[in-house]
Amino acid sequence: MTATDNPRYPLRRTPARHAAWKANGVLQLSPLPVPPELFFIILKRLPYGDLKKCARVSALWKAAADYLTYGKELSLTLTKTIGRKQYEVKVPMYLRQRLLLDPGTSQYIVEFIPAAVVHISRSMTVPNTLTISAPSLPTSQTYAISTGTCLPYPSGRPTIVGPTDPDFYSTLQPPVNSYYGNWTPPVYNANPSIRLGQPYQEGVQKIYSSSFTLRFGWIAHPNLLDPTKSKRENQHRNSQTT
Amino acid sequence: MSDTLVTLTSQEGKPEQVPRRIAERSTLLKNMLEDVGESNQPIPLPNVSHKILKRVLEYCIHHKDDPQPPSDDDKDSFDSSRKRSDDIDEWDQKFIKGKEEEHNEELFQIILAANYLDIKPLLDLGCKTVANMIKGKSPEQIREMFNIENDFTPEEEDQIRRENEWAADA
Repeated sequence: MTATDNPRYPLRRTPARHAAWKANGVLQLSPLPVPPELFFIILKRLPYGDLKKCARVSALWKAAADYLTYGKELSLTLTKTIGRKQYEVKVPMYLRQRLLLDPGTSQYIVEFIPAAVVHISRSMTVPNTLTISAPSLPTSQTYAISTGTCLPYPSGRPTIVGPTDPDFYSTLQPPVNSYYGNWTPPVYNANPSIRLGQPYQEGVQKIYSSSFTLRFGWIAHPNLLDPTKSKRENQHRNSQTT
Repeated sequence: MSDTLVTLTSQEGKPEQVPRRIAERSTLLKNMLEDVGESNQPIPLPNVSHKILKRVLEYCIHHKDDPQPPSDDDKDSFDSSRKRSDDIDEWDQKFIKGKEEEHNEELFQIILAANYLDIKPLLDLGCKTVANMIKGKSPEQIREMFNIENDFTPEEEDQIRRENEWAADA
């Protein structure tokens, strides 16, 4: 995600802003004389109305305030069908942010990552699909989805299925025991959902995993670097979808 | 063992002696002391000025008998991290207020020191205080208070004002 291709966070590179950011270190980028992570801790204590007002202070304050106000609305609903009954579980989103460096422009970018981790107990039976719906996810953004590590599937690999997106399957890049895909919730679908299971196949399947996780992450720009990480760690991060 | 004195050296190289149990209010120092074991070596704190170190120790001495805060394993969880800011006790309010003329600068230095030394209740107190300073203020007042430059272009500012119009008088 770059500053320019994400309309919700208009951290555009004006000459003055760029010069200021280039001259300052990461910590001095913080909109208060504290490191960015502490700034977020402070803002999290503000009521909604005050947060929205903070969005008008400066570009970084807007990024932080938008992140927190949007974050407030994010949650996932996990629907599980056992027999004829459907069960719904609300899963809170875990929210993270980090500063990344674009080596091409020396510009720092705030990346926001809504992520959900769903734990499924070992040998849970998933009748064909496990549906995860995220009605409050902004639809204009592409998300990276990964299942984390799964143990082998008895009748094929588990995969993530974007039910309304036929191109979804071609974007899957399954490394060993992990499954990744990119997904943009369709704008016309009021309740976008993702199914876990095998596409186009009916019948009961099982996922064997002691800690099955599902992560949503906004896709990082492949060239961005995390200034706190080594070159090797950045290469590793960028080789993965999220 | 907890009555032994520990020497902390500030940024300026000035030593400050405190009982070990006071120093151990800081998780950083507690872990260091456990790792080092019995030692008379002073502990250098290059990120903390002497003035701020004395303020932090004043806080630790006042709160020496408080129970240690629980470990914050789920600090990334959104719900658990959205906390109140109106529950500061009287002593803490007076402490963090400090001298009026140096309030902002000292407040942020205390926050940074609490973060560095890993003293969660003090960090919490500092963050609550800053949040309370922001509450109810207009964007212009916030900029003035924290000396923040308005780096929006006029077009961006106009767009954001329209987006957040409903909150203008909140």
